[in-house]
Amino acid sequence: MPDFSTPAEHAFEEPTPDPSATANSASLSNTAIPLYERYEIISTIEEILANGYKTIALQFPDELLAESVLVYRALMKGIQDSGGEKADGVQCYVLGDSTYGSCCPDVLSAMHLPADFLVHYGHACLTPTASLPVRYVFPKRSLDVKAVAEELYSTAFPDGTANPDESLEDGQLPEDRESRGRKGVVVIWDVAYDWIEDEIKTIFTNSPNRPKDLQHVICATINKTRQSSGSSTRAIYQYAPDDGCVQPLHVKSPRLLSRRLFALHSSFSASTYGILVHNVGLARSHGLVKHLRKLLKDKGKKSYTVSVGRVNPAKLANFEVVDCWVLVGCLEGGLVDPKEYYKPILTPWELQLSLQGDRGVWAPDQWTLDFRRVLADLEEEHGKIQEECRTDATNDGEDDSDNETPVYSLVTGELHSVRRFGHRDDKAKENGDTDALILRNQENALAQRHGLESVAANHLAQRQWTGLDPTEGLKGEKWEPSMLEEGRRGIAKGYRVDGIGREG
Amino acid sequence: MVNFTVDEIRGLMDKPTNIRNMSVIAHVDHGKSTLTDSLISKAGIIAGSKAGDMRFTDTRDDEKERGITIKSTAVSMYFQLPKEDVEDIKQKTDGNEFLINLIDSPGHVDFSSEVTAALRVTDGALVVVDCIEGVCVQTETVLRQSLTERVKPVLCVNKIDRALLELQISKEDLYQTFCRTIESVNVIVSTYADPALGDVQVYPEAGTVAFASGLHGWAFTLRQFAGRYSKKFGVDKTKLMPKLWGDNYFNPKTKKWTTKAVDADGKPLERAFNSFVLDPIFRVFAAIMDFKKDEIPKLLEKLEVKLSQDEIDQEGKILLKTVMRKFLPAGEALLEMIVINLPSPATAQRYRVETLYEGPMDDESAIGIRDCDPNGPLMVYVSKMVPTSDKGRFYAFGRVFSGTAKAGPKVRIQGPNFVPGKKEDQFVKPIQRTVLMMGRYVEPIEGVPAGNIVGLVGVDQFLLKSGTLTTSETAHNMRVMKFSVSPVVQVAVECKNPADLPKLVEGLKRLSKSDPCVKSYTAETGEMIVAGAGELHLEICLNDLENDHAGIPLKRSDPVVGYKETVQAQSSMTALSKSQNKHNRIWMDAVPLDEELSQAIESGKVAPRDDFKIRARLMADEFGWDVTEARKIWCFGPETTGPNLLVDTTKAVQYLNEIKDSCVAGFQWATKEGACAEENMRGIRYNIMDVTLHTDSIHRGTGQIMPTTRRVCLAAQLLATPGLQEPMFLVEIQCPENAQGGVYSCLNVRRGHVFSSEQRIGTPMYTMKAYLPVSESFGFNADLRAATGGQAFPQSVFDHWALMSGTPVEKDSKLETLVKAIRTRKGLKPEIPTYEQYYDKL
Repeated sequence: MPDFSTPAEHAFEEPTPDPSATANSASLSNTAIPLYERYEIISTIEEILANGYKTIALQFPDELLAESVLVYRALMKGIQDSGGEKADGVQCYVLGDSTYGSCCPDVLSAMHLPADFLVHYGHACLTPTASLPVRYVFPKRSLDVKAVAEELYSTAFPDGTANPDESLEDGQLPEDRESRGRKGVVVIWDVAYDWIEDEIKTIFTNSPNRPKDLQHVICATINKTRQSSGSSTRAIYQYAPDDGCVQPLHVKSPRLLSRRLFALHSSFSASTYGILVHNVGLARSHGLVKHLRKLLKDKGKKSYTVSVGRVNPAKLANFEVVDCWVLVGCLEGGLVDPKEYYKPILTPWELQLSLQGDRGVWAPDQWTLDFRRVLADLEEEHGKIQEECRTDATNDGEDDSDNETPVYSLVTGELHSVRRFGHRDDKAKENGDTDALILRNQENALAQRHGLESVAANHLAQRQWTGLDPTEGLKGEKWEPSMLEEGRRGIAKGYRVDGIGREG
Repeated sequence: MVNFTVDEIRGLMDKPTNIRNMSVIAHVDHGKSTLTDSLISKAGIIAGSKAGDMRFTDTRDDEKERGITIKSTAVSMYFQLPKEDVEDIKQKTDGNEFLINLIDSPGHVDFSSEVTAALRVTDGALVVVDCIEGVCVQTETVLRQSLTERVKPVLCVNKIDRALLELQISKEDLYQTFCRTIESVNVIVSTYADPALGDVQVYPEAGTVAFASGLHGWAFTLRQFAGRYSKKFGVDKTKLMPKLWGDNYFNPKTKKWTTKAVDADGKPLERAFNSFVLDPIFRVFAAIMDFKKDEIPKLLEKLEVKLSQDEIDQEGKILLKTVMRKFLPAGEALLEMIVINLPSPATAQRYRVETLYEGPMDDESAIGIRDCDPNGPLMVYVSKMVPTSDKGRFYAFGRVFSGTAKAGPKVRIQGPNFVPGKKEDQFVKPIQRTVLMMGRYVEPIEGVPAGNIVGLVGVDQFLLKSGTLTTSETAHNMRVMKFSVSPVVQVAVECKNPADLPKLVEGLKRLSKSDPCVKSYTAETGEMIVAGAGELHLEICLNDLENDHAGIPLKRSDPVVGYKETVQAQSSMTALSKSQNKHNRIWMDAVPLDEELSQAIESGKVAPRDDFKIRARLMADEFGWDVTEARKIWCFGPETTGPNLLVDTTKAVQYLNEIKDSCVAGFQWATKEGACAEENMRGIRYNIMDVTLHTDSIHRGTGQIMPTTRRVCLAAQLLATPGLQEPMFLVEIQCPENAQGGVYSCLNVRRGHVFSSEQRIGTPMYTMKAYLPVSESFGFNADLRAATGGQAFPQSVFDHWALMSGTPVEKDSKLETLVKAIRTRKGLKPEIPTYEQYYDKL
């Protein structure tokens, strides 16, 4: 089932600043609703006491930090007032800066406390997290549900019937015949409206604008139905509460998806991957990273696992050897706009597709950020690889020559040789080189290790500037060894030179 | 019947002095393929009676349908020169048997890249010119290309039958027509000739010009007639030849040669060429076409032509064809001219090595090429890929320049991006088989020595279009071919069924392999783009893709044109960008580059791989650069070869060389996607004015410098009155006078302008030349036909990039609208970024 409401669409665009999220969160501080109700203080306290949590971390998005003290005081007061044994030693902490985006619970900071319970305020992406119980307190926004229902129904079904005739069908999707007869709609809303769920359900089902022949109206919050971030086979309309207008999203989504296709193509010729762990606290992210690493290794690719906190182009550009990134992130932060980045950034689902090579089929409606599905796919893929390896083992000779065949890259339209690293570890081990630390070849370049090629050494050899010439002073006849001199020492923040002073 | 065996050919391969590698080049419809038929029929590959109609070298169905050649095709044949003629060959020869490797090339401008690929592997060119249409735009293009490749031309003036039958012109007029054609060919030759080639102008009296009728299968050079008359007059052939051309007259009364057009009594004399050469031909034509049955046998006897019984009964054109073919067989005349005048590989490689090989002239590979040494290190240049019957596999078609190509041992396969000493784009693989290319057939052949053209099996998957094969560890690449056309017309393709995507990818790969010029890539929007030289080229490519290479239904977009971003002034202020950590600053200026220099870079005259000192000297001498600055060019871009330069003009900046790689990467990125429309940049010189860097290398890593360099390049571009360049076609239109109005009006609507219009002397036809923006050229041919009642025939070839007036940063200007449209198509925000987005205040 497709969904494409606010956060999903926003995930394709710049992650910050997000107007809808800010607007949503700002409404949290809307004084119309009293603080206790807005921040669900009472139920939070109940949960804390019921489970006997002692150290509680409170995470606020930046724009709500101003009210954090009030919430903190209310919580502490409420807990103390409740008396009882369970209230003893309960302490709340407000987390300052979040490690990742504010949509994800900052489990990492909370674990530093170490907290045993995290309360997350404001807009959330609802990606499941591991290792810590989390309570989400969503911003509450009021909504004129009637108007929304009216607006959406009239835009989606302009002639009041679910089976409009041909001429009214969207021109963009001529092949999309099966969607002509529409039997039902799915209404999806942002977490900010979860508190009026019942109202939405009744109004949408009973709206006078509802086409007579529409059989089903299914209602759900975003997290329950989020499986794919966009499929071109269904029409999607989005209602923006701020200006009250309805936009068709399905027109735009093929373009967004084909941009993903571009990233996918650019990854075909990559040989070194960076697995970028966006948020370590997510459920299954650990397992996923492990799987990805294994998959890459099986495919003879080199991988580095990197965690840089908030992702930005400068941080990633520092890893020059990496040809392609895989971002393991939450449902909203798992996708970044690749425009500013030097190297393509894939999602785990795209990676496993790209590694399937010829077998992989680009099916836009399968596109997902959901770890569970990716993991399932990966496991299936892993099985296939092992099978392949077994068959390979029988006709080993042929396989070797195929490994070096260059790959035709659709991005540049040229052939690229894709290096494979340690495709068969056992072979390298058999060579008995494992103990040799570093082999120097004649040009004094450190190139071979364990009988495998080193990515970094290769990359260094490609650079024009490779540091000072190691053979400097060895050339010519007047070669005299000189005494080693002590250089500067310390850390980058300030070095000490000759023990005299600091250098900035 | 084929009058030779593969073994004979294999034997001749070992004698590089007796090989002639030649291509047939000409303007479209001047009769290359038809003439080639005559040559092939001489070798017995096709029957003589079929020559002229069969077009043996047009192997594809669409070539036959359209009647134009699309792919170049190679044929090898065996030729035996009469023993007495061998001494006429000025170069070293061994016996009188010759191996001729002939490549028939397409004439349509859209397929010029095929010609380039053919010229690379040949040493001589048979330039065919229609005697009525004369030298046309493509004649000039291919001649220029052959001369830059140091390929020696000989001329064949074709379609004389038309002049005689349709136009009925007099002998003297015909002579004048010939003169003009030869003259205009020689003008081009002398303009572009390389001094290393010596005098390569063509002279009828030297036997380097043939006159032919490809359709009727006859041809002659002055040698034939000189040979005929030398017996009669008892004069030496070589002495007689010059007399048969130019202002030489024979006074039949005094039996004396003179250079005056009148005799002693003031009576006009007939030019020797007219009386000795044209006269017999005219007489045969007159006798047969006017059905003067009684005269024919007499004439035939005189010309020593014997007809068989059923041939005597023929009449009209058929009889004419038969007689002329027996009288002046085309194959003999042309092959003789080729063998005597075109260089053998042994001769040609001596002077071609400099232009062929990138490495130093004293390494083993260069010496092997120079000496055409079959025992030297293997050097093969693969110039194109020829599809095999096995779908998706290709023969690598190329020439052995040194060593011997044989199946078995591993060779180094070096792609165009290979750099000596590095492993990139290099594979060590064995050649599986070597084959001899025979038009639509191939013959397996064992071990092909230096100087021969060869098809290789088993290396196709390691090379995209072209490359070098070698056994020498130190070998550099053979120089990459420069095409006269560039892929400026683009179409986005999409598979109708998304599940077919892998097939499309494979199809695009095959398409890129099979055509030397076509480019396919994915735009950032995810659209797959196929770019070709012109509409026809693209149509052929897309049909191939859809029906053959991918075999899936495709959706095609309307053709679009790629633009180039440039600047029109120096940056109004020096652009500054700071790195993300604010510790590093780069100041940069953008300055327009001379158009001449941009073109020199594109044509490879100024190349990134040249020695930087020599390059600096050249730039100082020819483009007015400061030598020290020219030495400090950091790189070319985009793709490290494009016409934009990054120049270090800083003084005494610490650590600067450490950040060079990062700057280069950022510069490549910026020049690939300019600030205005994310099109490639062209003709921009970036001067790094100053750089401040953090003292710690960790704080001036790639992550800090590379994005900053990109930003500062974009800021400098936006500050320097950015502009757009659009590709322009040179259109040559042949039309009668009354159609000119239609041509003008058709061009005016499309922003084209005519810059020359000349009447072709002796014909009612005008040759008009115009520039037409490629973006306006779609459907031009059809419109022109409609506007002129089908009387005008255009040929469009990419000529240059033209600066469009105005600047996209001006609000509501035409260019802004254009750029916004491009941005929208690419799925970008329509607004053009302002320089502030990339500029950081100090």
